[in-house]
Amino acid sequence: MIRLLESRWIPLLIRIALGLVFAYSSWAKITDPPGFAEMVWNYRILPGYLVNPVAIVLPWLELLSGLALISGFLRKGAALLVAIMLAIFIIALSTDLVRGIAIECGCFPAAAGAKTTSELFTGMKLDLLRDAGLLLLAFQVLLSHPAAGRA
Amino acid sequence: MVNWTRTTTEAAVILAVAAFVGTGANSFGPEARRLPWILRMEAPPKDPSLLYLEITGDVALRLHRAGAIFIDARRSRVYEQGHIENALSIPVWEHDADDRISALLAKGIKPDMVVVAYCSGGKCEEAAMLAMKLAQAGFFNIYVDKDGFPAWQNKGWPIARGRQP
Repeated sequence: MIRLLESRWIPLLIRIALGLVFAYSSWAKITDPPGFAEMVWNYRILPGYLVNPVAIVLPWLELLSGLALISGFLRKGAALLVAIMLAIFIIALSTDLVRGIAIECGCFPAAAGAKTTSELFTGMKLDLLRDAGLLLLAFQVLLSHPAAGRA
Repeated sequence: MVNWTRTTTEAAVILAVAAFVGTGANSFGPEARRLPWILRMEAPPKDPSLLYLEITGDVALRLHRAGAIFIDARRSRVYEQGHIENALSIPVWEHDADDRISALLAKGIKPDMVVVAYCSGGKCEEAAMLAMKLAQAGFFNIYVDKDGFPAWQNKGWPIARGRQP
């Protein structure tokens, strides 16, 4: 077990998995900026004038960071950006959970169909857990030795 | 140990490229995917009754039979999949929503005519946001069908498919 955890492949796998998650989740937003703008608006956190700039740039930031993590090019910078984004997502989700605003996370392509408020709250809590787990992975990539995870 | 100077420089490079590509995609990408940089959107007020009235589906049906103008506030591709018969399409989240509202007036639709906005029912807010925009454009007989398209369709009331003619 220890030997498995010490394997030099683990950092590489973590980096690629994290990159795939971000590249995949960015795609639905890149192909539908108005839909993403509506989700950002629904969070009721950003002032109106920031909603569209975020909807225009954030999906590409996710895609490029994801590709950087997968390829290994600029991976430390990408890990920093991913950690910052995840921290922001976690703060945004918890703020709305505390304020009792039920929203669709907007993180991944969501299944169609209206959800009840309690289903939405359960989803938000699961999203929080997932983001926290991803944040740990991002820290791993960010803090690992520069030689670790080199393909 | 992290080389912070290098890490933040790399992050800044990725951010700059993302801003550049995002701006480019928004300027030259397909029309239906574009967004204006400045969002002109107002959240519906707590008591909207001074600007528009919320009605149920069966009241909306009576207005439909009486020839009221129906406006679909949902996304254009959703409108194409099915909408209330004769409804116009003004997707409130797409970049040309304000132009489409100006086009209503140019088409000879008068601000005192009865207009009914709808979206997908439930917690959907697009119709209310469209109603706010219509009120700003001078309309003063605005109704919002709270039940929305799914309920209308389930009742078997008249619908149509395809783009707005």
